[in-house]
Amino acid sequence: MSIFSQRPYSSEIAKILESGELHPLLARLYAARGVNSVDELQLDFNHLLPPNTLLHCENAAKILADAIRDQRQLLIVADYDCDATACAVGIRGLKMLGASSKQIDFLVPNRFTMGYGLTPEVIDLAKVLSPKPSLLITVDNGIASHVGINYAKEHGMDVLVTDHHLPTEQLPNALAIVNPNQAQCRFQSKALAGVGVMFYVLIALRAELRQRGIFTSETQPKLEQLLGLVALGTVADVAQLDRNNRILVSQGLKRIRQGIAPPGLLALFEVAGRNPEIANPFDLGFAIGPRLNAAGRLADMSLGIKLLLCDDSKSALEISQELDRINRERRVIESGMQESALAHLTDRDPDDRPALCLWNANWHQGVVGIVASRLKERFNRPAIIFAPAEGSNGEALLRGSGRSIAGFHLRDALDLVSKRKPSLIQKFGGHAMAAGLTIRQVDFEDFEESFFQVTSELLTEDLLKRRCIHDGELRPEDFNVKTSDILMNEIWGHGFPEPLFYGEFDVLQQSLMKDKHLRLQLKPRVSDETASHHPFSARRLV
Amino acid sequence: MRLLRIIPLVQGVWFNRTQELPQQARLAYRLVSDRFRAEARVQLMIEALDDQS
Repeated sequence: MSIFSQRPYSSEIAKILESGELHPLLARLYAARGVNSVDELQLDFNHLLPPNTLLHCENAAKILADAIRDQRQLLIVADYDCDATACAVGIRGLKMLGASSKQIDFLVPNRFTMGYGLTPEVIDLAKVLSPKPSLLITVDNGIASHVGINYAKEHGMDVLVTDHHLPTEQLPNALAIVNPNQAQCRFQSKALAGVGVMFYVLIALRAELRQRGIFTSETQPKLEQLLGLVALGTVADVAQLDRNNRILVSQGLKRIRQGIAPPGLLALFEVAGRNPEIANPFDLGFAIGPRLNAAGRLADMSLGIKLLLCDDSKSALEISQELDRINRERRVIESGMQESALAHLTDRDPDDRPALCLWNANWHQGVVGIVASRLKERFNRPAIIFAPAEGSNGEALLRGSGRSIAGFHLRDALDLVSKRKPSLIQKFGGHAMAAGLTIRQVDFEDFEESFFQVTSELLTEDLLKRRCIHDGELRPEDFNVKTSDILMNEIWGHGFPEPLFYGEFDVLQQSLMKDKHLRLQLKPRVSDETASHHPFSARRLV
Repeated sequence: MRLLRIIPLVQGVWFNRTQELPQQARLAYRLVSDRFRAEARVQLMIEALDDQS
């Protein structure tokens, strides 16, 4: 049972937007999403926030420019759950800007054995590579890797951190840290994804190389060709689509539609049965992203990165088909886990408990996050799903992933559990809506009890109510492809929700499609209010 | 003078729902373009039924 309400908007601002030649429907939708002027809707490349406002970005550019000049051996270290785009943008970009193929490589730690971020285990792996890397560049991770970064130094390797995760109070001892979320950084878009941070470093590096006289504005490499990957990474990482991210996504989609993208990205469109010429954010989030990330969930991310680095269409298609197959396997595992989770829940009514907390010996670590997300959606309460894992000393552990509902800060809740019972959670991290943690298998019931205790203290009845926030009614004359095309041509996504309308219909026909979905024939009912008072209604005079 | 509105019929899909809808229903939906071969038509992707009276 949901509470339905319309997303509020100022009709004054809608009028201002409309007077700037914006379609009246879009004016109302944008006004409801906090857009105040038509200018804010300009999503050209030159409206991007400048790199020099991103703290240490120029410093990182100097370090990289020197490293390329001095032929230092570079190694990009990706995190297991970073989507492959950040790593691929780093490798492709640095090569475009002068790093030789021999000079640069990447490493993706095994998610099941090496833990989070740049750990000493990862450094042990890096230091024996031949040739040995001298500068490690983290993408989408590293901000919490204090121990690993010191350990790298002891072994003669410098570290440059590019990340977007929230830092701890004490920053790690890296050569430079580029992260819009560090305390002194005045970069206005805190929502920049890991791939976006890497892209900014490349833009700054290009400017540094221009200044050193290596390129001119005419001869410089076209880093803009990487924007398709930046768009994909931004959407797939569910970064909030503030204006800067909307610019990155919009510019990336524009290039994908023109076919300016690595063959691997276009091949993913092909295996997903989507047409890149009309690519939209929905394709990136629901068709392309899941296929690219499938290998990372079940095994390791390298296959996804290999695809994005591939320059030949035929191999790109082959790798894409393999990823598509792995993605189908992922779906089977996921739905099996979901079924067993639901079966688990039948003996107790989920409505009676403040949160869901489940584990099963057969569940797969790589899919716990997705299953937690589905259960959270279904029962509208925080959910943590665990799968078995093994500690370095052979101890039976559970690795879990949680998803939360609006208004309940999951990481803070775990923090509270761990303050009350310091030995209960081995490690945890995350943010308001999602978090990851590791506990001992023997502690599961203890954890469940403590977590439920904290949840019932923090959750209110009000938060548990399911809400459906919509954008009001459409006029009958808006039910056409022209309107749906206008809507689908805009950039919507996380933090800038896709329009959801509300209305009353006569259901003329209904039938089942593949025994799973309802297919409907509908006739909009026109309320008197819509017909006469609604500001966007129109009448046809006969 | 008489007011008359042309009210079109539209197709709708509700994914992963098999339960029938009432004959009159208040729905929350997304408006999408459905392209099949050269043909394009509008489609409602239903997300929720408001069953409170």
